[in-house]
Amino acid sequence: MTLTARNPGDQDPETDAVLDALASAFTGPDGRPVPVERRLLSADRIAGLRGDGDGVLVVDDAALAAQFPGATAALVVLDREHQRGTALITHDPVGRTHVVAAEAVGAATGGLRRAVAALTAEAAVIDALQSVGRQLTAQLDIDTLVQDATDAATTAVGAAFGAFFYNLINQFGESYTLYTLSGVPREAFSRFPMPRNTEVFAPTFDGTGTLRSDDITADRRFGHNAPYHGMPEGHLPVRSYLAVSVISPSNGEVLGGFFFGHPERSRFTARHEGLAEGIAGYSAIALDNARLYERERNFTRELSRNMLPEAPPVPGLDLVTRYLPAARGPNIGGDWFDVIRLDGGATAFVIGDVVGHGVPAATIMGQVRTAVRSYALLGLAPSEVLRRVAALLDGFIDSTFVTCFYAVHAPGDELVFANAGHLPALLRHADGTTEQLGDAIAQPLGVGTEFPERTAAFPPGTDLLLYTDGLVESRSRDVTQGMEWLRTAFADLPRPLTSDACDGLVAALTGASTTTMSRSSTCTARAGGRRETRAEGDRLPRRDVGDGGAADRPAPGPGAVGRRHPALAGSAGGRRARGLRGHGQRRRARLPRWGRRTAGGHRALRGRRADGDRRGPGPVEDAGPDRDDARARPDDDRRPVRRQRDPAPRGRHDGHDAFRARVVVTGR
Amino acid sequence: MTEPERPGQGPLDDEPEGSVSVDQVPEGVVLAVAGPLDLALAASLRRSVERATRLRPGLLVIDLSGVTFLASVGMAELVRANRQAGETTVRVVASGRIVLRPLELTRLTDELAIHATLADALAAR
Repeated sequence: MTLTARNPGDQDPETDAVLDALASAFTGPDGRPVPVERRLLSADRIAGLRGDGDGVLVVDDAALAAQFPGATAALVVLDREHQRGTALITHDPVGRTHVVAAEAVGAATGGLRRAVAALTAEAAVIDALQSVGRQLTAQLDIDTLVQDATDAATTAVGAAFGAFFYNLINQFGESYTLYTLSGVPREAFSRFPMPRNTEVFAPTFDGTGTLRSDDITADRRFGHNAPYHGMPEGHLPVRSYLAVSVISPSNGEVLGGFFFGHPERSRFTARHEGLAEGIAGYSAIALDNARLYERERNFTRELSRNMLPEAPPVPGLDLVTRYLPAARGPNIGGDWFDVIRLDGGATAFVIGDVVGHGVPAATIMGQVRTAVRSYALLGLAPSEVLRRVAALLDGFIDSTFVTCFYAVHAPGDELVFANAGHLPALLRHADGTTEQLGDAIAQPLGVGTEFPERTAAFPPGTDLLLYTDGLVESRSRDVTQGMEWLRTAFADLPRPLTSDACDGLVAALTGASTTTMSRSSTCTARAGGRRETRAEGDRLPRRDVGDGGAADRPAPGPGAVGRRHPALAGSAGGRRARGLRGHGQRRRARLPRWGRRTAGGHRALRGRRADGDRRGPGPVEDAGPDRDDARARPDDDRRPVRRQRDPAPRGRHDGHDAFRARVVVTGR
Repeated sequence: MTEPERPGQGPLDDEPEGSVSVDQVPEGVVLAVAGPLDLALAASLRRSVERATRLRPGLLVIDLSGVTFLASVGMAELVRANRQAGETTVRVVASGRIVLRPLELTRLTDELAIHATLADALAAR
């Protein structure tokens, strides 16, 4: 704010009147007015003038000779901030009338000028405070916020250095204290412990009031505490001291405190104190906002993290899963995936997406996921699982729907699936060709009621990719194009797949349209906002893998996702099917849970098995006792006996089966 | 066709965040949606649908010709409009894969009465 923003010569009427009056006060010895010249002076010239007077300078003889050669007398009327002035100069002999007039004017306007000066300063303070406040309260990033606040406050109070100690609460609810500094390098304080709640610091930490001292070393509260009794050795010298609490406007909690120091005494005035308190007030609001925002984000992050399953290890399958949050917006959503180990060695893969965002979508997702799991564990066929979930949803979702791809990998290299309006899965065959599974075969849950089933061969060496729309869809890329890109990228992935290759796929697909957003998402990841799981099924040592032949290599599926969306990929390792059927004994020994089968577990699969003579090789151990199978329902027909009827289904598996047999035999 | 034709009906057609304009025509009400039909615009579409159905028109046409991105939340609104319309016949104008492909993938093409142009939708019997 400035009151001097006029052009030279553009004096306000009051100043003109003063100038006129003073000019007429220049009188000669005879009492008659003398000619008076007016001259505008720049700030530079005013600085060179010395003289008496307040608002009106009576130029002394030395200055007169230097500045106005030949003049006999001069007055300078200063403007309100002494930025410029107008000189009244005469070259005639004069008496002292003008001096008397100047003193009278000075005396008359002095109070006013001081009031204006004070108001101007006050306005500048309010301006500064307001701009700091606007800046601070718009900031949600705590690190930036506290540093900005410290810098602004340190500058505003004219401190040699300032510090802001503030409390934060971590994700476990524990409070901890951090600090920022301004005016000094961090090293200046790094050797010292955090300040304790000593008598000097107590008012600030306890939030009982501002402490301002002209010389803190002279304060009665100073220097009572061991070990330092004052400031630690090497501490920056502090005489003038000002400390202000930062108190949460929402709950009165002391969030932190500003501490300012200066090596000279009496540097901080009441105005500085007011400024510091003002900035502390804004900082409190800003910190409150930032903490609430952070809490909200943690909440949603934890919620989404807890709602997502870990993909369990599945013998014979390599699984790679990725779940990445949206780069912006709520850190939670309706996307989910699941890998469910079913009785009888089958595995269900689920991927789905609840329409909508944020916590509402996430809570529906949690329920749908549980419903799918429940029906899955009953061993229902995929179309039946989806049909029942849809019926269930009818009761509690309104104006939303859920897409869901549900596939069961039944023992015997077959994938049985149904798709409720979800994006088609991708299958990469051992020969490198790709295939879309379940493209537009049924409506979403919440809309459709029938979910026809399809089957696909899923022999060893095949990779399956499930994903949600974030991977293929964005505002700048329509889903058709995205799906084509994904299919091409999936086909080009190395074989066997690596986890890195899957990450590369995700980056390539999501980065193309949202480069900067992806980067920020990566940063968030370090803060724990991104979930990544990788589950690998029962991996055998590499040499064993080699024995299995090319078709038998374990190929971890790609996992990928953009935005918040999960992708889930599984690939059939040759061992899986064989492991289930042919090597159950050995595997059960390693993974006791795995062999627990119930009759129900196979209801959904039995029909399919009937047509699948190609399934299940008949290695030796199939004939062996199967304790888990013995617990199964007597009429359960998925039996070693049945499997023994199967010839080795494909020539290329022969080596693998032999290998299996050998392993099992050795195991015994 | 990748670039949908923009009807230029909405006063805010060029707004990046999209718009829904409501036009009363002799056949009923036309809601012209332009821009990305995502979470933000879906809410706006819902309000417009509710407003339009209060007029109890014989026909409600949701014209998606100007839609540049069809999110699932937008599709959910279409289904909702279709199911809650009561006596009102709901038709959707959609052409171009940007809009059609998502509708096909979810087979909402079976649920919704979809027409290639606004004229078709208004003229259909």
